[in-house]
Amino acid sequence: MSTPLPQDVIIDILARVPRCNYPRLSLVSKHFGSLIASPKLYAIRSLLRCTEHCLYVVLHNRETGGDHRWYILRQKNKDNPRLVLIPSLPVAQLDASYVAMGSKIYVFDKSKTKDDTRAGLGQSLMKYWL
Amino acid sequence: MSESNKKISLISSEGEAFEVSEAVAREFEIVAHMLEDGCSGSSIPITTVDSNILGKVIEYCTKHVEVGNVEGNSEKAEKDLEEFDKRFIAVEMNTLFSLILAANYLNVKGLLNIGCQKVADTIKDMKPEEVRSIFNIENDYTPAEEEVVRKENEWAFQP
Repeated sequence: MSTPLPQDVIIDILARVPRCNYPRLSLVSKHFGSLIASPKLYAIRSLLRCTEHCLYVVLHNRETGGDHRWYILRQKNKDNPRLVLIPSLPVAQLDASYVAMGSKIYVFDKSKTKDDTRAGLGQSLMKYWL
Repeated sequence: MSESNKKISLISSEGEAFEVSEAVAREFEIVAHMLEDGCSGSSIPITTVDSNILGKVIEYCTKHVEVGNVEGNSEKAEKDLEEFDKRFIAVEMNTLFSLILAANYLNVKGLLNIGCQKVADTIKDMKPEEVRSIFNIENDYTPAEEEVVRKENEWAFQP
């Protein structure tokens, strides 16, 4: 390929790819990885009306105890949707609030905001949303 | 001469002239802007696009202008146009990338859309190494960095 595609065009292409392919495409190169994590990609997805709903769930087994972990509803196989654990996400804090905004989910952790009066900032939890 | 009959020459990077109607030339937004800015010359150099690709872009725009001018029977016309787009964009990867580059430069939105969609449909189920070869990019992750990305997204790689 003689001339590489401009970044805007690559974002336009990635925005049209189903979200479930993003983890694999993140492995292509650092540049692809950073584009897939960028809020701009999700803005373009909105413009192109390519957004997909995504369900994140926190589960906890009462009998065995253990942490509250994040799961995502995986619908790759349409006949067999299932919840899949996302081990890379931190354990969910039950007394924290979670807000989805733009391409991210923000955590408002009370134990931390006590020390930090700028409670409005929150900490970004997830890269992939929408 | 009425405006609809006015001809404009688009000159490819090799210097070849393609004579088109003003309506077709205006499908290239970059040309439409030039005309609106009072650049009234009848020949416009498109220096970054070669004859082969310029010819194809003109073919695309001509078809879209023709269909746009037909009155009535819009549903059938739309279907025909969809079929045309599908056939038009079914080209090998090098040509597809050149068409996208040209559509991006000339600002032909419809062509850019179907081009990007075609690449997206092609790469969505590909392995990372196949995508690298299409985009001609190197894997710049170190094995350790790659492992981190893989780990982060481990859940997605489960069968």
